[in-house]
Amino acid sequence: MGTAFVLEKKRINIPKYWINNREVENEIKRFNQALRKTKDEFNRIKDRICKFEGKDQISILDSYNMIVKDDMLVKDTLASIKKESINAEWALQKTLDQIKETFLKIDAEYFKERNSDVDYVGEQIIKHLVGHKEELFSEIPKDSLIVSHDISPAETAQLMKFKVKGFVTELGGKTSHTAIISRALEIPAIVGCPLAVVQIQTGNTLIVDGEKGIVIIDPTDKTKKDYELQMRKQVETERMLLKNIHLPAETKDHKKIRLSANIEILEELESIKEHGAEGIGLFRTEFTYLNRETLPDEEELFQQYKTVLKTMYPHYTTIRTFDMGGDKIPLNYEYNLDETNPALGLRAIRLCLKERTLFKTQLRAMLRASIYGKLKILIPMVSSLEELRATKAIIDKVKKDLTKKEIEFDPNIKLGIMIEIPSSVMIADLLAKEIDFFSVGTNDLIQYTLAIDRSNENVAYLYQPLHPSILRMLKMIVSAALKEQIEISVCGEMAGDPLCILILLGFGITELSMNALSIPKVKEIVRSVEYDTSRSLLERILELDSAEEIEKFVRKELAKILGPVYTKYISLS
Amino acid sequence: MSKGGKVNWIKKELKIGNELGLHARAAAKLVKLANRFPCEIFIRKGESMANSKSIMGLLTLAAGKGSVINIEARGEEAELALTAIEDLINSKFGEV
Repeated sequence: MGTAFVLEKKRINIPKYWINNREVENEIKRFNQALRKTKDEFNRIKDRICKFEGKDQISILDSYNMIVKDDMLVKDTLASIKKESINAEWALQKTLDQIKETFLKIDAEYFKERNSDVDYVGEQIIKHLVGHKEELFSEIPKDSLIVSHDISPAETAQLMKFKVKGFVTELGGKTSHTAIISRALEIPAIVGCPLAVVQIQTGNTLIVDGEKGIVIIDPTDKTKKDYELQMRKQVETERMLLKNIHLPAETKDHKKIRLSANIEILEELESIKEHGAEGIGLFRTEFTYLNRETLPDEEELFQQYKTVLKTMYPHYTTIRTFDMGGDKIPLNYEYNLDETNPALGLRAIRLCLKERTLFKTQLRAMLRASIYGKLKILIPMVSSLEELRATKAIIDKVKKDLTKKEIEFDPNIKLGIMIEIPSSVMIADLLAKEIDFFSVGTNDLIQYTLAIDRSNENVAYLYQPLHPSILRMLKMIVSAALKEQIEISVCGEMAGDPLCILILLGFGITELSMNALSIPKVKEIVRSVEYDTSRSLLERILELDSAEEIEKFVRKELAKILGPVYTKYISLS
Repeated sequence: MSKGGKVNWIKKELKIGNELGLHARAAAKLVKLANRFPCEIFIRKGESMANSKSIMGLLTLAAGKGSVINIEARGEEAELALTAIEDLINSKFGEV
């Protein structure tokens, strides 16, 4: 229940003009660039969605990516540009119209509806061609119910940022991808509600019952009361979850654990506080570089880092240097990184070491911001000592430059590395001698160790955090850290996964960094167990020989230890 | 279709057996597979024909459950491609 906000889609004006022969090449270049930007954007959305799992949602974005490079779309458009001497937008529009015609001839409803996917992809490409900036959501008041003619799946994924309570769209059906994604994000939604935009006005009181699939406009007092009761029950559950945010995260036998947050964008800072995070264990900085025409300059980065550091003080902020490359490439990046194996290619620290100017700019911004809070610097994807030493040399150089220019920075910034490649696990003892902390990135570590890409639906089932190999890796990392007495945290999804907490505790890991939303439930689990018990259980777990057995064992023990907490958080996961 | 002089298309008739037919996800799988082969591969259903390397083409075939389709391949590794696609379709695209 909430207040309706009717979202009017701004129509994009498609420029149409003739071009001369000399301009053909440029139009083709523009078209290809727009295709690449569109693909990059889809990949970014896919990245985000991967966190909420769901094979269906991921495969939707795969099919979008296929449409972007589909012959029917690309070849025809290129041909129109050349033969008819028209601009890229016009040529693309013509192709889209043709495709639409073909789809409309189809009888079967499901296939007919797929034209909306093509339409959506086409719209995105055109937006990139005309340089349309998407600011559709900036005006949405918090807690409102969105009513719109259509909301694309990609927009649905963005909606969660704005704390939208739910939405109603005119278009779409049960098989609509928007419906699938909204279910994954737990946003109540009614799709395929004809004339919604006409019948509902901004300011109407609405009840959107996603379960029953009904919308009630300006409900009677009686209906309101019924729904209010239902909602109160829900709020109650949420409050239960948040009741422990002020309590310390420590085990029953008083072993203190630090629960910190992973963030990508500044908008998340508020949620971090609400969920009781003690610091930021991972600030992914690459998002500032993507999806824009020019790279951010030092000043912009500095302001951003300063805001985060100031907001988090007295807690610390761990900023990870940009992890670009792979499928995350800045738009105007001069190299064409069309790699066959992006996950094994020029990315993260490898790219930093190659693009030193870019890297130094970021480091300077971080160092300058360091006096406004407590900064830790984290280096992604280190695989050898040489890489680490080369990186340290660059950091030292930047520090010297700043000192020479009498620019102030915190002299005691801690430096750490992500442990996310098997090679770094094997030499963790050597690496530990040269830095202040380890942060275990379990997502990549699992993928590299088990040699699987979890966004590939054929092998996604092999993504097993509880695989004995992963536990053995963790053991090696922890013992290297203990020996050199450096700090160690886990910042991958395992840190927020109820089934893994017991194990991570047992290893003696003292910091877990996760999506802020997971903190309350992880804290409740931490507070329900004894460190000693987790240690002895881990010994037994390490003797088991398959992920399946380990999971069975963990579930059984957790149920015993946690009692009702178990049913609340774990039985469903 | 009349590219080159000699036409040596190899063909196969198949029936789509999975519940949802050649829907988006199945079509995506087929495109991915077809792209692994250097040969030309077309799929014909009744009057319409689609390039198997184009997801939109495949979708516009609207091949629901029970549709009979003809796969036609020509060029390098054409036979391999045909067998692979046959396997994929017969395994119902790995769907239940």
